[in-house]
Amino acid sequence: MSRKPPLLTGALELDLRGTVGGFPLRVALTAPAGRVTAVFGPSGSGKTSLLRAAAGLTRLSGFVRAGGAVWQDDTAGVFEAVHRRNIGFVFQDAALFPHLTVRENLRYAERRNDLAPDAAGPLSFDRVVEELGLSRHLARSPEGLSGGETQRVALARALLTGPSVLFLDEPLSALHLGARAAILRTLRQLAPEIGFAALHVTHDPGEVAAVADRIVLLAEGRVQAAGPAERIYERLDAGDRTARFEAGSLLVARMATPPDAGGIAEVDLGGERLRIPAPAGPPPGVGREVRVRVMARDVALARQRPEAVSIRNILAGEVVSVTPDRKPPDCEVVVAVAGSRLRARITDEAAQELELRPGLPIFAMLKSIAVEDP
Amino acid sequence: MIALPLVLPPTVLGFYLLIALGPDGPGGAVARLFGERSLAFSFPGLVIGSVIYSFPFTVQPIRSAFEAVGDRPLEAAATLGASPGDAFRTVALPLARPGLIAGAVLGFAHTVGEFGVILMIGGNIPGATRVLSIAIYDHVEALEWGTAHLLSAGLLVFSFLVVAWTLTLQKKRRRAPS
Repeated sequence: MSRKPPLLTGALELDLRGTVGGFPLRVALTAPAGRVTAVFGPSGSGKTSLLRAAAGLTRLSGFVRAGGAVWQDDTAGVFEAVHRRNIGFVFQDAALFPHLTVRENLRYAERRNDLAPDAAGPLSFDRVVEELGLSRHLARSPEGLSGGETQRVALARALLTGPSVLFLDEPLSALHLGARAAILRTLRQLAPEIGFAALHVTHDPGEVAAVADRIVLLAEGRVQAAGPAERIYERLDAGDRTARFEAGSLLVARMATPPDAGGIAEVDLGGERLRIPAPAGPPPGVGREVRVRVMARDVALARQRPEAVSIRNILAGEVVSVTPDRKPPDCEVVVAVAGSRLRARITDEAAQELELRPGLPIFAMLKSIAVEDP
Repeated sequence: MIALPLVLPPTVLGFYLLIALGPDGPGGAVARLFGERSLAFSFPGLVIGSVIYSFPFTVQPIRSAFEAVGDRPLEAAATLGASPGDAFRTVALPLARPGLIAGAVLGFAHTVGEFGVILMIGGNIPGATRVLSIAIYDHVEALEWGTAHLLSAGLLVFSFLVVAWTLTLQKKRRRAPS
């Protein structure tokens, strides 16, 4: 009956297969403890089915292990019921209980977490309420809450189960950017501190850039790529056959100088300096991680270091690959800069004129940088 | 099967119930355990007959209420560590409450107004199995219009109050949380 100890235990490991929505799904993945793993893919790729099966809400064949416990192992005939798995689950529609107040919703989870940490523990009721800014809303009914408030309550409720794995099924898809930021920031901060593995399903590249330590790229029920976020991010559109959405690169830099009077801060990226608009909210301390996203269409290339140009961020690098795009007039160029990889989209004509080939020294000009700071 | 009493003529249902509850039916066997000869023409017999007859009127609203609750709240409860029984008690039942109340009210109102089945198995014995709706019929037959008026008006007021109470209860429920 009692759940397994939750704190600072192992990763989530699973290998599941079955048929969902008329196509075969076969997914093996590992989500490390203390890290946020984003499961990214177009709609219909099986993301939600995978999450539900991992949580035990539905059943596929294979095995699921987490936090030192075996949740499912078909070879041994093991299938733990959902309520015996030490999980938190944030549904897309939040699924708050409408007959209970916000406080009662949270207490519902806390009471059933029978390894509740003591009152001063890392995930006490008061701590969770404070982290998610819910103290003013405790007496309210879920029905009166805004979308952002609703999902904050849902996340708080899931955290109060003291999960070893936290599942998030596109909980932010209906929220505006400001409301998302608060939730992503909490997730990003608490996962390493508490030690749970977070599996975050999304089809929003911005969310992935902001929160993911690792990315699992899913398409048509299969893993297309998996690994550290910086490495996989540039391939986010690989599984998407229909839309060339915002292809780009994710750079993880460190704060080098605090924002100046004009709101521009400098960050350090593998020894190179980038000038970026200061992240919203309280200025991050020097040395803190800052995630920036650069769209492929915002990167221009030059053979010589350009002078007297308006673009502020110019990085010296080396061409890694040149790939004709699926849309003919364009081609994709991957450039290694300062220990990271940048993706650029330029025209075929330009690529030929510059005589781009792997190994060629090149300067990348970043027209625009988006700071994805949760 | 549950819907059968909805379409079956009350006298037909009453006839079969009369046989079942009578001395030679299973009802009679049960009655003998308590030292009675038969359940027909007795108050317990009336209760059994009314339960069967009004069953669909109670079950339908309750069933649709549980269907309206859906799986999602129960799934959420399970992810929060609630066992199926726990989730049913703390989530499904409270969420289905308006349907439970509606079912109870409909079942009660339907039973109060019942005539045919009651007449068949109750026999209209004054002081034992005479119910309001049959009493009104008797008074009209005997041309005692005053008494019939009094009882009918009483039932009218009562029915009105029940409907009004159910409506306010549902409205209050909808507004209560905010």
